[in-house]
Amino acid sequence: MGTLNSVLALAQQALMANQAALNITSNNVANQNTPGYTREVATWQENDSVTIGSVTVGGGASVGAAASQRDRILEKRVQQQTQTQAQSQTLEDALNQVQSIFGLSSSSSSASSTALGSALSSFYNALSSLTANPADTATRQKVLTAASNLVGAFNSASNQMAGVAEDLNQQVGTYVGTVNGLLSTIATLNQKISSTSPNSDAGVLEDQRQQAIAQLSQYIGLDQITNEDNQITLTTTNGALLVSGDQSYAISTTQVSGKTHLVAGVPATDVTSGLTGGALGGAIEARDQLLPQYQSALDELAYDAATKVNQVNAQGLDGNGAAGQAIFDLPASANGAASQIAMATTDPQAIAAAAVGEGSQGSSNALLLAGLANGTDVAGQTPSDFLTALLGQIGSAASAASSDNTAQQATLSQLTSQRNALSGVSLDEEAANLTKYQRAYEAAAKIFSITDELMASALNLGVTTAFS
Amino acid sequence: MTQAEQTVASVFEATIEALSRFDLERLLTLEEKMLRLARSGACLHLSPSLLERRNKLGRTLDETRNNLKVLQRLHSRKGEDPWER
Repeated sequence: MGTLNSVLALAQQALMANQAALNITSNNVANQNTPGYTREVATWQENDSVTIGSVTVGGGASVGAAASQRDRILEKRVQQQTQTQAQSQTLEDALNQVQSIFGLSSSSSSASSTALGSALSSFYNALSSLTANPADTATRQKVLTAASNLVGAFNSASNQMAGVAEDLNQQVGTYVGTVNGLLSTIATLNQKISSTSPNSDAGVLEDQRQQAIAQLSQYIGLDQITNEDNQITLTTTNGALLVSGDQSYAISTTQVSGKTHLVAGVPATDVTSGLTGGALGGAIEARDQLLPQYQSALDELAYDAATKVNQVNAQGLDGNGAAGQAIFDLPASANGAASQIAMATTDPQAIAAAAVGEGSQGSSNALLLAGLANGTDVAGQTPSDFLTALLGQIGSAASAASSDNTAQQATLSQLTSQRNALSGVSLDEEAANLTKYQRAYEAAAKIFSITDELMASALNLGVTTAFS
Repeated sequence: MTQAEQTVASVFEATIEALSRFDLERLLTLEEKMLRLARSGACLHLSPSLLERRNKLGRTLDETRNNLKVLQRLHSRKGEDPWER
């Protein structure tokens, strides 16, 4: 019976190998739409030969562990590019919001057409009109109304920018929660992978870990090292430890001057300033570098322009013949001026159109006030030129961010395509496999039917039959 | 065991092995070999071991057929959205 047992074992092995191959194809098809799934292929391995009777035959074939079609370097490049693209996307989104605050768009970048630019021009134009009718109350009222509109435009732009910064601040806090969840998942998968496949591809578990790292890459820049147990160590781009083996190190947050800062690593350190990559990197760069820069410029414009108006107004005589007072209320320094600037008066007579000595009907001081439109009082530029430069700066940054993001997105698409070509499931390819299996089955079935017919003849005719 | 019986036995074994690999080329060769044997008019003596081999190939074919049916159904459902992940 040794011979018969050998045949039984061979058939059993064939069935198992055959089914394993079908299962792999089936698994590939079933997981075609599973994010992060890496296509698997059957790896055939020849078994030891067996002796049947006096004849030594091959021991059949069996399917080894299904091998994932994974390129770790390509996976890593996709993850790195995801981090770069996510940062660039967040920056572009933030800059687009800043652009919209000022009424800029990719097709319209004229400073004079923006709300703030229009309010600034209207204010100086109203002062210019006052020079022709310094005693006219309606004209004086128009100056105050234009001043009030300018104040409103400064307040609005500043508050909206603060709103964008606050949104980014909240995003930072929200992202940290998601990041910590993913870090914990990766540490758990590290533990499972090291215990089940320390020296080989862990298939689905590695898919899950890669998927978690890919998700993490959306949020934060990472450096990763694979160790000898097939575990991955993750750090931030500035070196703070996030995952080591089966241990994750959650990022915590702390408030510094009203901003959410990130504390990470061992020992825990504030890593906010050096963090790059992912949406967190983009949000922090926009919140801590770009927005403060624009907010500061807006404050400077509001403070310098309004301070100069107050100074010149104080040199003249108001409509009642008294010494001019401040038109605008301002903080002690430029810091916060755009949000805090307010009207100091609602009285049209408060405009000091006349110079000292020419009587309250004079217009010499109104000429000086109107001339401030062309004065270089804001960082050596006229208010209008300064605003144009600021808006140009914002527009250029937004345009550059958009171009950069487009390029980063294209690179990511290329890498993803390359990765998918290798590891993604192609139904065409699986269909080809299926056709091949079907044809192989049909050929085997034909062999079976030929021999079966002959054996049926033998059964009908006796123990011996002849082929015909 | 006659020459013909040894040939049939080896074809059974080789068919099972080739089917396990879905080795179409090998199976077509075996099919041709069987057809030549059938045409040669050689005598066949039925032995228990030959019947056992035949039954094992039959079971392998049955299982393969069932698996292929499942796979075809699965594939036809997924085939509506190729390449999307």
